[in-house]
Amino acid sequence: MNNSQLLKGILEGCVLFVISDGEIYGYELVQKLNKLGFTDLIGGTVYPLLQKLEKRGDLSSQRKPSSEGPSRKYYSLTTQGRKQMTEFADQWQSLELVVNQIISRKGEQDD
Amino acid sequence: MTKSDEVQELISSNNDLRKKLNPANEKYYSNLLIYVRTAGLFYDDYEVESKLLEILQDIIDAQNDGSTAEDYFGQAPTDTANQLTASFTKTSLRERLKFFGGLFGITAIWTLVIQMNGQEQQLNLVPFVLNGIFMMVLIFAAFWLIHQTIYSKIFEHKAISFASAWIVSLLTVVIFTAIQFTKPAMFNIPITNNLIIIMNSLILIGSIVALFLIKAKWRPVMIAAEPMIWVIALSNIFKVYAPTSMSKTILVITAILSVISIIWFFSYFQWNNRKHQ
Repeated sequence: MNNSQLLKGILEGCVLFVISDGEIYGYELVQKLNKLGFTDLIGGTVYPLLQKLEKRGDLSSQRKPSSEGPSRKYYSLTTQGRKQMTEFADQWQSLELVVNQIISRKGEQDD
Repeated sequence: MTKSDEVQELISSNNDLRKKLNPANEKYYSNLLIYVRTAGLFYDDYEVESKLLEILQDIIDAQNDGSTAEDYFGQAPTDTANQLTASFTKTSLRERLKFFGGLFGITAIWTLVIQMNGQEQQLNLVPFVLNGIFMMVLIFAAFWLIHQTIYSKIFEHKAISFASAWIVSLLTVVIFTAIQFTKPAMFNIPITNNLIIIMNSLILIGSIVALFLIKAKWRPVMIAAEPMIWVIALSNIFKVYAPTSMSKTILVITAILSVISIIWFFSYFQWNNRKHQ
């Protein structure tokens, strides 16, 4: 998948879902998203996104002591973020349905 | 802990942690750091430094996992940095006025010391204003220049970057010197010997008090500049008391001590910078 606007919107929702598993720091989040299938995703894409979500109030952050070196910034989901996440899931499911219908209709016409 | 102390702590953690990066990653990250820090004078320091430290910690993790900083952060660091800086909180109008006020205050004291060192018993107001304005322009220009050139390939050549640093420094010295001689007669204020003694004593005491009151971030600048202020202020006071036959001796001693204090200024800066690298 390439780095399109469409992807960014979807990525936002996916980030909220991953963070809903528990608090997480930037590198860990990028690693998790890579493993989940966003294989080309880089830190450079994630930091502005985290910043945007935090400013919007979907995420909160806290510096916590780390085993190696200075404290680290951990992100967690706020109540508003949880609501956003549910809304994203609903929107995605209805969108997926519509898009799939359109694609399969085209497939049937070709047959 | 005040917010300024927290910012200081983030900066010193950053200085320590950077040592863990390998040379290639260090170059990549340092460029990014300078690019972000010089993006503007009026972004919330805590937010900026917190983001920079976060990125550094993550790049170190990536390095430990065998990736390069570029693999992890991307080939277009300026794009990401521009997106981040665009969303940083800007400092309040009050904070900005405090900054300009402090800047004008410091240059005013400095101008005062220089003018009282002259032979004429008068002050001229014009250099006070011009020095303040020029100092402001200089700081903004320095930030802008570094921000624009940090990723420029041309400045990677040592000779070019050295030559441009020299040209800029020379130009600065020439303009500053020219300002000190811009003294239209209508803005002259006569001063008495008593006033010279009172003002120089206040400057001496003030410079020592300021050493303790100044923000930790600016303390090294103060420590570096302190001997220069003392030498000139003390010489101004002695000149009033000394008999005319002594004036030449005072001038020579002042000149020698001034040179030593200037050497101290640059050596201290260099030592302090090295300590943080």
